[in-house]
Amino acid sequence: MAVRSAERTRPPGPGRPARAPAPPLRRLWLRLTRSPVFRTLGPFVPVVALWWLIAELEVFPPAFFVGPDRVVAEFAELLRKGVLPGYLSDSLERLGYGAGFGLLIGIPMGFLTALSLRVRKALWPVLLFFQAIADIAWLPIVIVWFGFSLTSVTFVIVYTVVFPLMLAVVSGVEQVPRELVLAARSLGAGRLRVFWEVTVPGALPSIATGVRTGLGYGWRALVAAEIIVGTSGIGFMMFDARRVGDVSQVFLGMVVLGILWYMLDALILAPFEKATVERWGLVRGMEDDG
Amino acid sequence: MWSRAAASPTLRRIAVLVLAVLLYQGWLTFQAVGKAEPGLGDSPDERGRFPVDVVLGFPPERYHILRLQDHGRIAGTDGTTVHLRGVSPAGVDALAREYWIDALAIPEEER
Repeated sequence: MAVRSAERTRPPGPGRPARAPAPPLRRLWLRLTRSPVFRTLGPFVPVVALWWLIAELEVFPPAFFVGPDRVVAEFAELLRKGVLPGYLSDSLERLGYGAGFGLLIGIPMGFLTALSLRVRKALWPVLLFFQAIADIAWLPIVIVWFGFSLTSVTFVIVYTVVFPLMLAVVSGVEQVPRELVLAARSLGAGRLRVFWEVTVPGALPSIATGVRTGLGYGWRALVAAEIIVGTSGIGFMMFDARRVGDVSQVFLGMVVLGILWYMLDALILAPFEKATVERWGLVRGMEDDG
Repeated sequence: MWSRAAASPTLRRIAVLVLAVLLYQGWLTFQAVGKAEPGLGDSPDERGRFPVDVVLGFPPERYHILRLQDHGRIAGTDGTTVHLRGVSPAGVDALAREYWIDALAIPEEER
């Protein structure tokens, strides 16, 4: 960075032609691309413009495809009637419960599977078997067991979060260099201390990635479960709107889902993963340097 | 430690988000003041419950009926008013916090 700024401010030396100032448009573009707001929202501009154009040209009948203006108007209307905040808080509450229980089950189970050869031998085929069964495939039997309830939705989210998380923990523990464990043991560290001070920190970058992936799957499962099981939530809102033929609410639901996940990922999950890799990814770095 | 936390853009963004949620909750409490008509719940039944007319600014939809059912039995709708029966005092507080409810009135037959 410093080198780059030094280059920029270096006066033209003998034999080197003075660099012509960039055209105003290019300068504006450079300034814009440095802005975090532009970098976040900029890529959506062509998408929204294309969406608007398709709607204005009526490539599809307005009953099937509405433009951003209709979606914004629907957003304002649902906000006024309290429907959107109500459904949104229901969805987030379910995700919170599902993710919480998923983490509470997935992380300890992952460590148990990774650290005990017997448990791994016993669980691994079962783990792979259940990972192949899509969350939505559980819905019919879950509805029979728990009915159209919050428990059914939470069950599906927990199921979706647990397996990628367990696999991530196992992969993370496997990535911890064996030499570090042996070095800690030879310095007198007990099993528990090796676990807390070598294995857990070494596995954290992989766990952080697993949490991000698992919650992403959980978010999708939540919407699917709400569509089929729910009596509220954003997924239910979209499906209910389809029933009455209100396409703008379906579009609005999709936009809200995208924005919410983007916010959750950008505000919490991605920084958590980055911070974890920066802090604890050193374990891997040490091994590479060695 | 605090200065390190304040320097983190992520923590700042999360703090702004938390502040926005707190402000929203504060606004919900503020707008609830004066929504219930004076005298509402003055003549409760033996279980301490009473009827309430929930006045909305629009005809109720499925969402609103389901939400109102959490606080009492629906006894019918009349334009933008929903007649609720068996509402508890805590139910009135919860209803007043819903910003899409304009007023909580005493039903005509109770006056």
